[in-house]
Amino acid sequence: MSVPRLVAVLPARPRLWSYLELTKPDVSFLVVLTTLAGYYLGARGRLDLVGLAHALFGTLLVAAGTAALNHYLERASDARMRRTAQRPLPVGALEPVEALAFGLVLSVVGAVWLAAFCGALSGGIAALTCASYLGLYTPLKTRTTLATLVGAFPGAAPPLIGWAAARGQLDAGAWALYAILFCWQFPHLLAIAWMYREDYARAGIRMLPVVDRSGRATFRQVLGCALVLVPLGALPAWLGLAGNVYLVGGLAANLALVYFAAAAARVKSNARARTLMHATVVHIAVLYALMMLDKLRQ
Amino acid sequence: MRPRMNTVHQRALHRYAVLTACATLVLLAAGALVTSNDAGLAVPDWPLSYGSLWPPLVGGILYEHGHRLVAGFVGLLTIGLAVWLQLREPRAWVRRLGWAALGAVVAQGLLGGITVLFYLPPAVSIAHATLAQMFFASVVSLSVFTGRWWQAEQQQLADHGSPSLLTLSRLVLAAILAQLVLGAAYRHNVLGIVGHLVGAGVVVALAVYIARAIRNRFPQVAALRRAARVLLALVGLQVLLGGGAYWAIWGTQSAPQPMPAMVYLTVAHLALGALTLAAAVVVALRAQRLLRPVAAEQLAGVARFEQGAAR
Repeated sequence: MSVPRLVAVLPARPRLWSYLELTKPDVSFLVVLTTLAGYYLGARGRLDLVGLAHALFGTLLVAAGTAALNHYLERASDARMRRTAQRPLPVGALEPVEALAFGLVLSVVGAVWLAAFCGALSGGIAALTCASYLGLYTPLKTRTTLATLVGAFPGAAPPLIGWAAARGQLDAGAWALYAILFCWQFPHLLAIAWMYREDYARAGIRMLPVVDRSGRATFRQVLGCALVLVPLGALPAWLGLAGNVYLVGGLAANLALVYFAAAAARVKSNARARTLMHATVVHIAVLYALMMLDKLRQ
Repeated sequence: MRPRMNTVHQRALHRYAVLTACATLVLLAAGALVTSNDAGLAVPDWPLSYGSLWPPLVGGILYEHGHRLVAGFVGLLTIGLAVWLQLREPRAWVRRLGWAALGAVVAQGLLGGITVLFYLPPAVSIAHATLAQMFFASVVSLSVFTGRWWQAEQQQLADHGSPSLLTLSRLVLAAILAQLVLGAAYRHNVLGIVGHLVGAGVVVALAVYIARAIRNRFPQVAALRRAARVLLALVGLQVLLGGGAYWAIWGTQSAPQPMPAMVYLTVAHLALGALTLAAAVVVALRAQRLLRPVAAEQLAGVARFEQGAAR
């Protein structure tokens, strides 16, 4: 596949930096954080710090590898989008085969690491997450707006990896964390997609805002998911995973998210979508922090 | 692009606000049933009831858990109202009031939880009862603001009387709210009945005064006269019910508690108190919508003119 090169005039950058960029450090960091939350909340009794370190390291490898493979698969469309045109592959800082090899090594080593040190279940979930993200979500992005829905399944998996690593099984608490992260992704991703809808359209990526020019369906989904998060957010407290501090703080965070979603849905501007995107990041961090704080108190 | 509201939406939103207000009235009655049946501690935990979403509904659990379920329903209705207003309401201050109402219902839930977890501290119980009425008043206000009457063009009237109707209507509102607090303090054994009786006298006097003022100053303004009549009727009925409730409490003191007569009369007294507050809110808002303030110097000028004409 030939990739358009935009880079003749751009200065060269260190290869190590390009490899680091391939791992999408911001996304990988969030994946590790949610895995940490899953592990911590799933752990019984005294926290096994060595086990936790294995879980985080393995997940980090899989997340970084998945990101690198995503760079490889989407190098053509990345080159057509302003937001991603400066990524290592479109600018020619690395050869596609290097990204492919780097991503494969990281993903396989990460999944094997998890299976070896944290149990087959967590390794299996990580492998399945990587495979479904790259095999289903990534190719579907250019074909159907339902890709966001499909991508939300692997997107919500990190807490399951952490939980499985801590407990060796998945019970109701793990699925509550999964359900929350699943719903949370819609306001987050659709807010980003709304801001970059022209970019996505240029690259032929069929995110909902590209097709839904008025934004009605997009913000209906945003608001619907934010509303669903209000009762869903109470699940960890009802399941005994967290206490009243989380219940109250989480309710406030979920209602604040509803407010930002409704404010964005009202005006449908890029500025409001950006505010909503920032709000979603703070929101999920607050939810997990409160759950962990509550467990610490217990 | 900012949304504009068409008539169908406007009507649906208004009906939804009214539905939320009605559900809140039911919630107030459910809360009153908890206190009257002495069921505040029938469920020792919160937010779950005996660690479950659906405990066996026996004895006091029926009242306490029922109250929680209705409260949850009202909470969901209020979230819907705030979101609907945010999406469709062009007036920023109405949107803000919607979110404030949501904040109030959340705070109310927290107070309810604290009440249970700290074994009914009277101050918190009274705050819970008071905030409930204030939340109800805010939802009633939203029902008024989203209504067709409020949004239609209204002829502005000058109120030359003193004190102004606007001041009077706010006084009535404050007096009724204070009376509700005194009632809650009596119910939770913090104060005796005397304060509540004095409050009743003040509310009756103010209600009669404002009804007369409206009849004398604006006999042709049906919106004000009707609201004042309803307020007066509710205040009268409330005095009778209050007497009945007091009689029931004292008359059944030696009987096994809770006696149904006492329960029904006290719950009805509380619900009617909330309706009285709602009527006072409507009077105050209608006065605010229709009457334009007249400056002091203008009033003095009118007085001089009237004196001259009399001479």
